[in-house]
Amino acid sequence: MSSGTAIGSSHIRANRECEDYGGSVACLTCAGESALLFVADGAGSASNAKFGSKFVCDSFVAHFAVPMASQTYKPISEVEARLWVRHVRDSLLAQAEIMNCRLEDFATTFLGCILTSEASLLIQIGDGAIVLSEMDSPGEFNVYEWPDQGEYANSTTFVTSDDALEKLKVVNYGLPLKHVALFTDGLQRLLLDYNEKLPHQPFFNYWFQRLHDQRHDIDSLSQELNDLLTSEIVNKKTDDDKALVLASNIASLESETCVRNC
Amino acid sequence: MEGALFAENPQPRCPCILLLDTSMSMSGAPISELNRGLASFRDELAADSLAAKRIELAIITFGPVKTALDFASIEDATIPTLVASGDTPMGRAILEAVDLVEYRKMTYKRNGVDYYRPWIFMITDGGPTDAWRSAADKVKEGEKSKKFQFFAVGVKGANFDTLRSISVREPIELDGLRFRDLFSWLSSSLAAISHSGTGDSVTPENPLGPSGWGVVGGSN
Repeated sequence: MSSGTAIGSSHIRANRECEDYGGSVACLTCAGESALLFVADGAGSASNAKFGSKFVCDSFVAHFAVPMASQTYKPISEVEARLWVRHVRDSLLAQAEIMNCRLEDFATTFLGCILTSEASLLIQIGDGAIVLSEMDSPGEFNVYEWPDQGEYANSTTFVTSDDALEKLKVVNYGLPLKHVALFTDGLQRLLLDYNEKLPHQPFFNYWFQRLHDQRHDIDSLSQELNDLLTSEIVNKKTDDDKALVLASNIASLESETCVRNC
Repeated sequence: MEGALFAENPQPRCPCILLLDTSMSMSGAPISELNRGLASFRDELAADSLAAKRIELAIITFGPVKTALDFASIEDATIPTLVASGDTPMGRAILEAVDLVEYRKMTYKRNGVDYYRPWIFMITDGGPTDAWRSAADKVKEGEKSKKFQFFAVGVKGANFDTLRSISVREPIELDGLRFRDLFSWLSSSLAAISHSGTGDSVTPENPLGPSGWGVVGGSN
């Protein structure tokens, strides 16, 4: 797995911190290796968005990592994923009371994957996208859900939105996925082809090949990804925050992982 | 090398219509200050490369109603020099602006282009000389359904009572002829929107502040 998060150039200008959060956690289940992948994009207008995006990701890991590692592990169902979203909203409400703020001050999107040797569970609230492939061969990437956006370019659904549970997308693929990428909205115009409504194949072919080639030196690959996200080429096209996680072959012995945050 | 790895998608657009009173009463210093303000507005936005690609400007003048500039990105827009003449058909100008916004949205949708909520920004030094009730209804309906945001600025002598009946937001009185400051505020407000990402609802800086271009009042 490989991931990077980068603060957007407009946020640097506004002297704000990066509100995107992303990462991955690998764990060993009785059925073999498995992984939790996640990214979250805290809303720029929400005062505690940075806290909110990290809180939701931490809750996701805390909620699913332990059961997955237990002896009695069974694949996580769509119902359990929906229950977790209810749970994290309740936790955020409680947190809002502690911090004396409103639920919407934590506004964040969330994209998560639970990957095991048997199944792949995908969760999406709001924009950003999950790109996946069941095949080893290149050029077979698909988008799980096209980014959920309202009429206007800066509107979407958040974990904290009233209609979050209605807009929540959850699917349990009954099979392992070969390659998965998660990214926040700061990258969606660069990594998706809006005309074809498909992932931009060259990017994913290139980086999943690099992930395979570099599987014994993931740290330097993470650094490379990070350099790319903060590069002039990217910042000319988007100055929003961005987070990206890539993962391949989770169930096999040569699973590939790495993480970077801003 | 990495450049080729990225998709080439159209930039999201941030449409703004300037609805400008060019009636006879604007002649002299007001119209020349307005023209200067417009030129600096364009220059300020052109200096911001992302904003220059994303902000699309249209200008409708009234006195008589005319589309002086149809929607164009700041990069491509040729700002006209405005000349004062005629009366103040504000009602028809507003209806024209609302139609132009809707038409532009249809063009975006047809071409798969994302967009931000449009702004209609009106500046006047008088009051409507035509029927304006249906225009006021359109503004209220558009604001309620979040179709656009409508702002009204009155230069000294403007009919603020009527402006209040048209605009949902409190109209602002321009301090003297500070068009330059007004347009500087407008360019930074639009630039902030054009840079905004998910969930960034941008609140413009209050123009009524001590260094702002507006003054409270406008009672007449």
